[in-house]
Amino acid sequence: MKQISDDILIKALELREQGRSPEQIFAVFPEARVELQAYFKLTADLQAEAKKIAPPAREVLRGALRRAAAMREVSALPAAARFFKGMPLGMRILFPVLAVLVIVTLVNPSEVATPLPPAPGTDDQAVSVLSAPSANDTAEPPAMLAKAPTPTSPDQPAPPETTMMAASSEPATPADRADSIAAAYIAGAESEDTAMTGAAAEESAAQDDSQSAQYVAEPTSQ
Amino acid sequence: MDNWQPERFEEFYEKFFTPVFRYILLRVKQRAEAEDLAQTVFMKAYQANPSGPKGQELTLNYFFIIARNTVIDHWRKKKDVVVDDPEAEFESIPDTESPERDAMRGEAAGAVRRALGMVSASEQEVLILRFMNELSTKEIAKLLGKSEVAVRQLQSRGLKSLRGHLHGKDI
Repeated sequence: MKQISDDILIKALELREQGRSPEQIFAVFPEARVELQAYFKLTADLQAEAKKIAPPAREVLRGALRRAAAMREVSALPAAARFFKGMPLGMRILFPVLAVLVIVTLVNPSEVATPLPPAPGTDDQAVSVLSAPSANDTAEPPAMLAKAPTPTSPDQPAPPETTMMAASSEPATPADRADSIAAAYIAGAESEDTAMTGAAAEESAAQDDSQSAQYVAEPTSQ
Repeated sequence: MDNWQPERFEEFYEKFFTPVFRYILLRVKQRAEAEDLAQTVFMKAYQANPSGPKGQELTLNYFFIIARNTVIDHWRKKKDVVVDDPEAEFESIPDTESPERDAMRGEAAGAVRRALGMVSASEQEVLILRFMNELSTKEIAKLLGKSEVAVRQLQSRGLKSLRGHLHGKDI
């Protein structure tokens, strides 16, 4: 098989691409006529081979364009709409409701926690123990705690410390009441035990005074 | 300007889809794969720019660029696939030496096409684009990112190689 040079073939193909007829090209390269004829036949075979390839049905392209359009529509939707697209109706309602509940719970948990109704025979204080204390409750000074309402039912006694505090901080005169309130504000940061100890000491001092008064009165009577 | 109007469907099919499919089929050999990849090309083109490349009229060259990249991606993915079932993998390899199998697939590939599968990838691509898709040397050079001289050289060498394979097979 005789081979022509690359330069001749390249030039011949270039002339063919420019629209020259094979005869015109053979005239330019008469020594390579037979070889060039074979190559031109080969290019014609390639073109004929391409024509043999049956293109896919039109439905293939239609499907591709339909899918592309659908994907474009979906991507054009906002994120929330994309999330709900194709979801059953029940889920579409359930999701926002749950979302609102979660948000409300996170923002203010004390508002969501419903206090239990008071059972018969219990007081408000017992119910308040079940519910979470709010910021206002904790900031309340001890003197306010001392003014807690007395039990509504006589059968149910008040908690011991409340009773003790109420008893100890119940002054006899207005001056004493003012003193005790002032003392309670000053000792606001102190623990209940300390307050109770102070009240007990006060009580014992009062007992001592009455006893000494009794001793002083006894010799006089004798 | 919207290039994707439904009334342009026939133009898309004749002018773009058929050449793109032909190019892909000649490169990947499997008809089913070629159909899938041709669809992928059009979906990519639509999503990338619904109004056409930079708002201009769509051209065959634009689709060929996407088709070429899609075929390269396809080959890359195929290389990465771990062969779980060697028997099935063996069956899926296109057998260019079996006209019976071609006939069964309805793909009566000719001798020229079979010989085309034996030349180097770059020469094959130039021959497909130049003689089977009838692109000009200038268009091919632009598409492949090569000079026109380089494309002409590949074209010349490819034809010589193709002829050698055909004579080697005594066809």
